[in-house]
Amino acid sequence: MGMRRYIAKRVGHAALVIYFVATVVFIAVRSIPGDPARLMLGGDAPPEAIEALRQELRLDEPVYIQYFYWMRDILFGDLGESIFNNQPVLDLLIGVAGPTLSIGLVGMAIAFLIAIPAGIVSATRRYQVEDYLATLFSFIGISVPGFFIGILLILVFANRFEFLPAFGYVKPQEGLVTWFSHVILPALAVGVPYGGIIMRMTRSSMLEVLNEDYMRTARSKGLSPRLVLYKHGLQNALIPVVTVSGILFAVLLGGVVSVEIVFGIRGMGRLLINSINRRDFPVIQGGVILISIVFVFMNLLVDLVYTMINPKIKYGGGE
Amino acid sequence: MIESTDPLLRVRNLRTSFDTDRGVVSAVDGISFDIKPGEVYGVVGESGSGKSVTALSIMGLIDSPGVVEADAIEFRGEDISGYSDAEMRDIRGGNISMVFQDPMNSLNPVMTVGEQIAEVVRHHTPVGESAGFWRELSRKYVTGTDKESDSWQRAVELLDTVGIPDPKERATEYPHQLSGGMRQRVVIAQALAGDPDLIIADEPTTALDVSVEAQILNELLELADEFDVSVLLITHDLAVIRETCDRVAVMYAGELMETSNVQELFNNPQHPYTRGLLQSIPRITDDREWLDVIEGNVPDLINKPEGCPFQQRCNYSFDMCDKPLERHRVSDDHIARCHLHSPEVDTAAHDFDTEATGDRSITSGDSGIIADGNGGDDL
Amino acid sequence: MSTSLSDIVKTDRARIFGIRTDLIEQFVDTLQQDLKAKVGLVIVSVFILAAIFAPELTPYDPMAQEYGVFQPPTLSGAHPLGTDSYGRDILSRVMYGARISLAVGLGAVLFGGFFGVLIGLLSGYYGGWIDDVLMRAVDVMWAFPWLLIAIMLVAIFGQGFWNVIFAVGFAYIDDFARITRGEVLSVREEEYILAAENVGLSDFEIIFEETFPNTVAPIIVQFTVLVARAMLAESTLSFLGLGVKPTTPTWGAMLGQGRTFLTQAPWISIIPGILIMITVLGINLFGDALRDAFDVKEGDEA
Repeated sequence: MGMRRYIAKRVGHAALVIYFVATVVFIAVRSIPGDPARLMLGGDAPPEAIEALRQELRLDEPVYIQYFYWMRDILFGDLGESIFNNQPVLDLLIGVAGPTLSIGLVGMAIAFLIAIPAGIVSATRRYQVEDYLATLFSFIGISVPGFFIGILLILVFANRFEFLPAFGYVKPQEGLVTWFSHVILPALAVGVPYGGIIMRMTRSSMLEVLNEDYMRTARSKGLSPRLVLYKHGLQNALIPVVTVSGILFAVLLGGVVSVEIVFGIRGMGRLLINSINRRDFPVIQGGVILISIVFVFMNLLVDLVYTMINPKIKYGGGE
Repeated sequence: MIESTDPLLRVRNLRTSFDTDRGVVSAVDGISFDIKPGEVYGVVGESGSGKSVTALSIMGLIDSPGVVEADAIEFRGEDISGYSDAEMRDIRGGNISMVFQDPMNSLNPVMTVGEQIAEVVRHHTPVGESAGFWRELSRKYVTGTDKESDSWQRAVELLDTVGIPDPKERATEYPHQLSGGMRQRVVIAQALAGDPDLIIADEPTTALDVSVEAQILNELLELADEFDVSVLLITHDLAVIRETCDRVAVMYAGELMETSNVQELFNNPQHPYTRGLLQSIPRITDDREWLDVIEGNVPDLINKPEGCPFQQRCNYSFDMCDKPLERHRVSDDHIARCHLHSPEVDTAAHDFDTEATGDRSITSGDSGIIADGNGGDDL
Repeated sequence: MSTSLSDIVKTDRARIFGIRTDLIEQFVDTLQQDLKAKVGLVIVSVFILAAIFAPELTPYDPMAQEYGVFQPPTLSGAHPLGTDSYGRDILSRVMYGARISLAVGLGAVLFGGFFGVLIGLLSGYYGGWIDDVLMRAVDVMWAFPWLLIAIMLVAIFGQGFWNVIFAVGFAYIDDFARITRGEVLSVREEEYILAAENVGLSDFEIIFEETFPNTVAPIIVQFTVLVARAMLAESTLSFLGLGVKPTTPTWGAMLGQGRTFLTQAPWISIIPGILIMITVLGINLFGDALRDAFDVKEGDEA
């Protein structure tokens, strides 16, 4: 269909997803039974404070006006202020984005670096020791919640061997090694479940590619087995893996929130959970929307990678 | 006219079997044939008769659980049946290349057609460009193929040779951007790129539109002639054989039943199975209401019957059919594996007219068992 | 005439409870050969039995705080899996926890499955603008960050059994819709469907009596895989304190509460963690065996 049209379509789709997330958040908050302002501030809040919040949330205006302002504010990056400490929500969230992104990206890198080679080995050495080991790893990966992996890692590496720090986060500016030593365990906890799925996808996709006619053609041309595998097979095998890897960011995301709690890291996930406990609704709303935007943006990046490795989209044509 | 020189490819007692859960499948069961330089040799048979497995066995492309055994697979006088995979790689693409059935699936969808041809050039002809693993990978993923390089130029040239218009532009395109006929031309260019002596074409036009089928096949054979390449043409289509081949082998249940030069096979088929096949072809002059089909099914390749594999379906079967088959020379260039041709059997008593369709008769002196190892003996 | 034809259409494959018997036979075959399938089936059976018969089987009241705190597991002792920080019997608690995992897992997937399969059937059968609208919606749902939405919904509407089921199950509607639609599109052109149309069966009959039973294989596989994923989602929500109810013993919540005592009493967290792992692993193995048995391609879901 041509790369430009494809990308335009994906960008439109991403915008639509964000629009729907914002709408769902709006509807959810407005359907709180009773007075949202009273619920947010708690039963013993002074009436003036409640009234001020009602004003701020425009709760006295008709719903469609509220909706309009809601969308306008999001469009201009205004996510409101925290009820807990009156700081702008966007600043609060950006302030804690560093650790979340560090864990997520390092986790993803670990997942891809382990899972894709393991998936390839597993497929090429099907029904041999390597395959069984890799399959076992992937099955455990898809069966263990990230926070439990985190707890096990703390028990083994931090408590028993006192090898790596179990709590907190250090900015990369304060030393890359310290940063990495704080990030590696949570990143593993996040990356293993994600890697498990990626590995299974790589394996089954590679197995399919190995049976393709063009692989036999490549062999019939006298190419060496590893040239056949890596020059002719790899890119084809990765196309479906890339397709799902974006959608599976959701797995990564769920992992990040709970893993931040386990490792006591002040990231976006922990801020979100703390805000829920404080009933700090503007932060909850803003957090959900901002994280969704990051999530959708990452998916868009994956789409771009997809267009690059799939010539059918890059060059269009064909039937 | 076929010249009687040393065979280019000499296959003796090729057996390929697959060990499956149900038992050992004998896909190819002791076949022998010769292909001479410059000839077009056809192998015809129903699907499942072992034609493709024969081709893959010669190429060394049968994977586990398949096992290939042969008394000899001689290519230009050298026995390649014991070659390691590394040794076979020089043969594949360089000496023997293949054209597969479906050009959509046999070309790599994520590589330009130019590169798919150029890599064969680099691997098998002395262009002086490295075809090492890392060099090739960096060509694929980092630098792309150098459009000034000799191998790329040669690829463009080959695309031109096989009749693709605007070859320079086309070389940079991907298979999905080409039509079915164009794709198969690319496959042919790819098969010619390594300067081979033999092309094995496995049902090369079956997946194509009828409209381009004949055209592509003619082009393949013209090019083979031009480049002085022999062709082993595998097909289920007897009409194709009649129009294109010099000699032909009829394959059934993993065995060769009859080999002959083409004219004689069509004029004077000497095996009941071949006759059955010929009668199942529709003809323009047909006044038959029904085509004659061969009743019954191909035997189970796991528990093949003793003796002739065709005996259950054969109208002429008699008490000798479960004895091991032998080769009987019908004429100089014509061999049938059927007990009806045993010297001690009176064909007339079995209602088998040896002069069924042609005008050649078989004298008793012509018929006889051929000893192994005689030059030029097929089956 | 029309009745006889439609009878042929309907009896075209034998069924038990709408599931084609050949699928059951395929599964029994796999079960006999495949170690994975056996292990999965044993784990799943033990889990389901423990969940169903928890009240009869548990030695103690899971809420009773009277057995001495922080007793480590001793397989021969009175508390084989030890006690927690409140002196509650962990064995009894994990057995009750299995009930929640099973109920939420099944409930969420049944909820998502019901709407998803319905959307898929309609979309695939009618095509046209119905298909366009439904599939566009499913496309958007596909890229939704569901766990976040679930966290928010539970935060707003409060904890509770049904809230968790809906919050988790919503995310699976699109998976089921996608798969069902794909299957319907391939089944639609089969002769028995065309025959059913020609003998004048109603759309309802064709969709639910002819089409649906022939799309079940991938749906069953998907169902199994998603039950495992729903149990993981439930345990994550419970771990975050957003699960069923703080006092209810669930594996995720037990793990979360035990985290404070990780150094002095690691078993409080590790035991429910291992149970989550083994159970989900068992279901995944079982699902994989089903996938092999029904010859469903991997990546059809995800």
